[in-house]
Amino acid sequence: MPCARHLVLALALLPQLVAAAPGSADRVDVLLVASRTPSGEPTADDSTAGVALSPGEEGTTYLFTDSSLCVRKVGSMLPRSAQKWAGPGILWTVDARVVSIAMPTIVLDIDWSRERVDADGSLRPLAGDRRTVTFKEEERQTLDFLLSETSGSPCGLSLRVDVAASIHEDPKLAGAVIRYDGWLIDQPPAGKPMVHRLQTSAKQGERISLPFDSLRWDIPGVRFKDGRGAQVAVTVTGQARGRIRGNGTIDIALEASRWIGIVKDGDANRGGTDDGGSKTFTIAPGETVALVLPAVQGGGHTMSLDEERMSSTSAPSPSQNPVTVTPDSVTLTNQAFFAGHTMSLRLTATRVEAQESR
Amino acid sequence: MTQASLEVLSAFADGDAVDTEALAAALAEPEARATMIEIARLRAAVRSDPSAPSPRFYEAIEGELAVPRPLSRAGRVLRLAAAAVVIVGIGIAAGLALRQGKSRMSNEPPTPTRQIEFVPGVDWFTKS
Repeated sequence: MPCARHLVLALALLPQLVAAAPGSADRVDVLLVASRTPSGEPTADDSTAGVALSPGEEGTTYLFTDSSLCVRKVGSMLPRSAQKWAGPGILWTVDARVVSIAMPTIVLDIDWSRERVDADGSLRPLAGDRRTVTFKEEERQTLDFLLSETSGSPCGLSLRVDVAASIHEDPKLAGAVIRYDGWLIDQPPAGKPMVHRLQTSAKQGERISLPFDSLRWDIPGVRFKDGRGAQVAVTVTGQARGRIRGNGTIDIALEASRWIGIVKDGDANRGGTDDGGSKTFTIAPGETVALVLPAVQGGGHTMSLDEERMSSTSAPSPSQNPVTVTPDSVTLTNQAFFAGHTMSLRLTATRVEAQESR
Repeated sequence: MTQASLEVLSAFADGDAVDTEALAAALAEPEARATMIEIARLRAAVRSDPSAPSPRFYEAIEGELAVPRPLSRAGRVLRLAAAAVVIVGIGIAAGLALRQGKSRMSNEPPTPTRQIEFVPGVDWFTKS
């Protein structure tokens, strides 16, 4: 009967899932970001101009500085006449066209230029090019970098001009909150699974960590120099970004990573091997998605019992021993230790009222 | 993160005195940073909650807090007995709620309605 129930649920969800192809967000915010480096201080973002575009749509952002690289104007609507620039300076113009949006990937065609604006308003091209860039959310690409020609400029030593892209948030859903319920499961070849659960919540479009407790297996008979025991530890963590869509389904972009190694009892992983990946999918209300991690392949980790040395390898090991203990060291052979294990994540995502998430 | 570490971090965030060794151990756990951020998030959310009792609630409470008439001995005994029953009842209810809460937060994962597999070399990669 449970199978029948799930079949019914899956069939019920099908129209919503078909209607909501994963990651087909509607619009993209294209940002021009100017970062400056003051003398003796860290580089920091200074000015931003943005424009929201749909696939196929083109938009312009610009940045105008004086000759000391102090920002005078920034925006997405170019003044109609060059005379409107307040004096001589440097003008960056970025024309961007959205080629495609497939969460979490955004492709832009970019045509940018740097021009000198003379006192009479005439423009002289200095630099620029056309390029196609594939972004993930919040990623940037640097278009230009300029050192200030004015010594002791109050506006710093240099200016960097980047372009960035992110999914445009629907204002109607700006305050929406998503609750994530996650389970990390290790199913050994025989016996009960080891399960760790977490629950967290995040705003619409907010990237959130899913820090599962580590899976641990004691290694009997092994003691480090300070008397503490040894464990095999697997730390699986996730980073999720969810967006509620108009039909109630939630697009999820998930990145997962897995770190395997030997640790002292209860310690965090700090050596060994790691692997990871990313998936984008859509969850409907009431749905639980299982994400199956690939079987643990080759690789291993050795720790000396005085903790002064450790080594890791991702290459397959000829050893058939899951754990090899010598008077001086302990070695984990990943493939042998995790033979027959299946690790997976299960995830639900639910829209909740803001009060419920507190 | 262990329950004990969670409680230490929560108490620390509340400004309570905590055992420094326990705090150091809790902060050394891999999930400590995320836990502290979550605690900060919850505290900020609670502080920004504008909810307050309604005027009707205050009126009702003021009525209840009005000076009562002196009770007879039998009345006092009855009131004490009633209070004892209420306390025992609350204890039982709290115990049941705790047990139910544990079961709600149990590790038992729901049966998946859909399965997605990471594929090595396609969307899953060895890093080291």
